Amino acid sequence: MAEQESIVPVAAIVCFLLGVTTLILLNRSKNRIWMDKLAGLMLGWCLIFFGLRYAAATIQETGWVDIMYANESSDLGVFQYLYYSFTIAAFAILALFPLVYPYPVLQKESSIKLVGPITFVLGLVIVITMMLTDYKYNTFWQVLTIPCFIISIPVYFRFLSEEMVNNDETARRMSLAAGIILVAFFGSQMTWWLAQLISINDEFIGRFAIEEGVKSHSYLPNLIGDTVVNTLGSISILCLVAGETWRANKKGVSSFTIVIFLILLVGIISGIADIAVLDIVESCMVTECETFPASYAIWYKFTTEALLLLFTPLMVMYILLHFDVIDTEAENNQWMTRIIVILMLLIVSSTMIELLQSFLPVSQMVSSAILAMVVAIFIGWEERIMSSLIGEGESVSKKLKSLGELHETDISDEELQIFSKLMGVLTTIIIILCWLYSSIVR
Amino acid sequence: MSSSGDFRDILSNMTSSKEGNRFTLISFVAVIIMLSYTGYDTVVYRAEVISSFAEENEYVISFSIQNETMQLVETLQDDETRNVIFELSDIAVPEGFSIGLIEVTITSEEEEGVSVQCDSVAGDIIENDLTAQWNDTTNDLSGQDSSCAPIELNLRVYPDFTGETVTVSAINEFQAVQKWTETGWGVGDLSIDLDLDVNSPLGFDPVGQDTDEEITVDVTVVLFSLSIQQV
Repeated sequence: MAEQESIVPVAAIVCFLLGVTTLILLNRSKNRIWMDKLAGLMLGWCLIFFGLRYAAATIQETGWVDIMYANESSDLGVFQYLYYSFTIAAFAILALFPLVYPYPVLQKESSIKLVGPITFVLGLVIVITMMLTDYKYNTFWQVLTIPCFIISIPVYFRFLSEEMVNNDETARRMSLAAGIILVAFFGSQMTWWLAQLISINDEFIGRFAIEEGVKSHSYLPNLIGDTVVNTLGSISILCLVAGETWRANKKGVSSFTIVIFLILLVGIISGIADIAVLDIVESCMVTECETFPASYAIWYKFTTEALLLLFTPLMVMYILLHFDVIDTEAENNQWMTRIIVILMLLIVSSTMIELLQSFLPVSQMVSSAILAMVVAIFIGWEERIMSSLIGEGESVSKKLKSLGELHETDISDEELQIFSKLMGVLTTIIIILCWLYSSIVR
Repeated sequence: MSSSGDFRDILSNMTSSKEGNRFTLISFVAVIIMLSYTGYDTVVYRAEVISSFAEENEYVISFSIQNETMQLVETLQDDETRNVIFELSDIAVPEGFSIGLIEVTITSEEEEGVSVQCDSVAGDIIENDLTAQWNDTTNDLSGQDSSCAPIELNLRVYPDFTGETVTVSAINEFQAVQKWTETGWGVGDLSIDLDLDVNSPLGFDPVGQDTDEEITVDVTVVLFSLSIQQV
């Protein structure tokens, strides 16, 4: 069996590329409603921050778990600082994103204008606080995902009910957007929903704490952050399963229903696997830490890690294209959109094939042939893929407008672009701060 | 028609579906229920467990000693070197015990000759495939005497074993005693070379009686078991 290669570098490329392309495409998209424009900017910058975070992790060449949790005795290099800081910046955007999309809670011109500055200040304050506290509480800020749950769940159920009860077919786009956002936010936590439901995730937290020499796990705020995000992820997937089952009974199975049931299944299998390895998990506490079986690590690489690192950017791409956040009809945007879609799908497919090759005795000739087949399918079905992504695309903002639930403001593109400028400034400050601070404390 | 953008209006629009509200309410209640029991498990119970490992605990390990002895009496001729073997497998090591040390005492008693002058006796523990700490600086593998005093030799078998109580830092009992539960030490035979050089006053023994010497080799195998107590 070949050595398992990290998919973090691939995630860095995918996120950064998609983020930059989103901003370019958005810049070329004219006559967008403020809500789409702002959501596009937020997603674009969020992807860039995630791309930079994964790039820092790649350069640091540290194990995924090692970089997640700061060791009191370890030297925090500049890239580790950058990793944490860009993660925080991305989460600052994610904290405010649900207030704007798919159902904008902030609709007054004054509050829309504040989204950029609030994100900037929130990001900067958390980055500096975490830096000064040596990233001891670096999983606590996962609580920033709470607004996503509080807003997306009611939106999902409201529009799902309208589709089911009032037979409003156009309501689906709202529930679908809310559902995809929930998966994008809590995807990895959704894959261990069963473990959270039967409350064995704390055993894993305990193991990681002891295995890593009791790092940041031991701090109460981090435990709160872990518990909150795991719980919200678990309840989210159960809500989506309930909703999609209801919808599938009346309207038939959709691709989103299949995705949700796949995550549910992954969660069940992961839960059973987690129960099976509980003795190994507890070994750290009663004897000495035994290593997990290779098959268990492979399973998590293909499910939780792949969902977080590879499929989340694809989901964001789906939101951008399917819900017309960026103007895919504009002549200037069409070729770029096509390139980026095919590129994203190919990168992810080839990575999955490479991952398969790392543990299956498949020769390189066979994997090359499979990759060639994938390329051929993507080229052959390019039209179909694009039309399913864009052709059926219906703007969430147009739906809200038709319902009379979207406030039309006179906010200009320039005023919305302040968000981009502030994020640019935040990126520069983060790089300078990390470089300075890491060289001072060293 | 456009929304006023007022927060109250937005909230009432968001919650305008009765069916939807019912599902939402159930979801929020489910979150509270799950947060309460997983929160207790993680934030209260697990935090306590983790904090008990946050700083390594101190353990005192004390040893119960049990000695097993073997004896061999050999008569050596003048200028003779003889190798004697003690098979450690002959010792019945009780359950839970390990071999810690081997102490050897070589004694000779001068009874013959005119002057009854002590003979020169030497003893060496020979390094062989017996699993022990052959390079330990506290070992005493060679000795020589010509004053009828016993020769004391010793070989440390178990790493760092002195028989003294030790204090260790570890995250649990298992890891604290791990160092003292190794197996495989003290397997093999103990090989000792004995050497005799008969001494006569001025090298003169008119009767020619003092030509040999009876040498007694006492081997004490120090066995230990341990008990542990958290400080």
